[in-house]
Amino acid sequence: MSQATWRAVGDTGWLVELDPTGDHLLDARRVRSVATAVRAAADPRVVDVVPAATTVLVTTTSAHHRALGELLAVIDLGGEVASAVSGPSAAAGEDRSEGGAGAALVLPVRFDGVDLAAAAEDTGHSIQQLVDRVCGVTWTAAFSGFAPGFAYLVGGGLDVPRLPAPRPSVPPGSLALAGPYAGVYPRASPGGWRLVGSSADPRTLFDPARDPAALIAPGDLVRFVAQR
Amino acid sequence: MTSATPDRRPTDHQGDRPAGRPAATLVVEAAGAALVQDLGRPGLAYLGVGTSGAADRGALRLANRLLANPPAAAGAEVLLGGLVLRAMGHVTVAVTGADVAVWAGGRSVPRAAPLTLRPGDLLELGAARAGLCAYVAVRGGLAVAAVLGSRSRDTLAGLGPEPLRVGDRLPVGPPPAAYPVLDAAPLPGGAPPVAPGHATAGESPFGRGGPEPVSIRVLPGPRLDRLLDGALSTLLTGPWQVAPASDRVGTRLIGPELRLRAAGELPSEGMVRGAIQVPPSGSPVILGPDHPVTGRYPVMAVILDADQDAVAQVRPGERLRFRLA
Repeated sequence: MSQATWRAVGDTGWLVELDPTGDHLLDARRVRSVATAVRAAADPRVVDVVPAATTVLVTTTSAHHRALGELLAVIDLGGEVASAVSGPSAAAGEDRSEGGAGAALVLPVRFDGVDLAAAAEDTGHSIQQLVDRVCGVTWTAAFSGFAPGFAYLVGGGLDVPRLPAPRPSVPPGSLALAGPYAGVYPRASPGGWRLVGSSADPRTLFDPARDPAALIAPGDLVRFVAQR
Repeated sequence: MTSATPDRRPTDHQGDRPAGRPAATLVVEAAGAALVQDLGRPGLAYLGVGTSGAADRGALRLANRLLANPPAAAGAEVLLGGLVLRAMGHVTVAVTGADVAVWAGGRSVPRAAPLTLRPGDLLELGAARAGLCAYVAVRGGLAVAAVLGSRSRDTLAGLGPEPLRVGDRLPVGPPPAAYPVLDAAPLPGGAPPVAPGHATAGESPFGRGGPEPVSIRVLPGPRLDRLLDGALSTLLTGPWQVAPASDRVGTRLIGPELRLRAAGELPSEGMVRGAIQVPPSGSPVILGPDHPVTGRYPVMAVILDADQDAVAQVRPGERLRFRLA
């Protein structure tokens, strides 16, 4: 199975990289499996673990950097990757849906985004077909990044081009598409993704005072429902 | 706060607070551009939440150490000086970081020394003569509300206490059990310590826009292969100047263009503070304390952890030079 390699990021980080399979859902599961294995083996030296599309960044203090690098050589990362492929419940760690197929979070969405027509055209769909496609699948939150509470959702099978240049400000709650991902912007921020709709859910996507703070966390299943 | 912890939410490092009135308060009389900072909230990347925290961590730690505070006690990070605080109650403070004149109760006092404020006394910071951020630590720490386990203001995510404004009343936490043991600390750069009662701060370690650029050590980055041959050499030659658009998210550099091999971007991957990222424009950015958790631009080099505090003190217009660690 695919090997995992790792390289230093300064004197506080190690970037573990997996060969992409092209299946974003599978890659997300493999990444989470590696992230869990590293944290389990290397705590308390680990400061943070940052899973992404096909990588896991592990950060530590400069004093522990070398020792952590040596540990990565000893952990059977390739084995973790292989076991992730075979077992649906292999990915745990920070996920809320540790049991596997938990209930999907259902988010009502108004499909009124300024880029909806452009995104449909770019992907060879009519607007209705694109809406049906986005609502017709169960998306999985692969990882979070970019902003608090921003989860990269996979599973739609789309490949939507980004904007040539990001907008300086995107309305909070915007549902956006880029590449294979869907995401909901938790607050106003610059954004280069195609805006196709806006969340009609009264819950805020990220509230630091709430437990859980993020409405959508890595591992969560999400379905969108079109609202008039 | 820098030692690794398996907890997702860092614990409160300022100890238990008694219910009821805090020991003392500091009232903001002039705000300048000041933020509450501690050593941040590491360990929350899975939520998309970055670490944030003091830009010059060493300066905050020193100020806390002078007051016998835990190293991660929250203080004020003051951009270019100008903060004025009035003590309501007996308060002990220390000022470190950028070269600013300091007055306590109307008396000229040194940096890097514990300063006693009596009720009604003002602590006044002048404009920074060199460096970018001054730190005001208070014995007992600033006991404002923590968010996700930290009192740091993340300016990108909008998490943590709001920037300081005139009229803000900052509660001071209960004093730690230990007492300060130093009269003063030597200032970075080898300047001699200044005893209380002496106004001059001595030699400043910071460049004053003078002939010598600040020398910063780097290691080759994980995506150096995404740049054209010679990119590392170009980085090490420079010359580089800090752009005015720099902030806590990133220090933008003006200098020779760095060229990427291919137009396409990387898939998003985890980022670290101190990473030198090259966007399609070719102008590199050094990721600062409030950088986003993930990013898509190649990281061609990473600044050594020990040199990141020095980067945080370089002003727009001043120059940097990189050398391999």
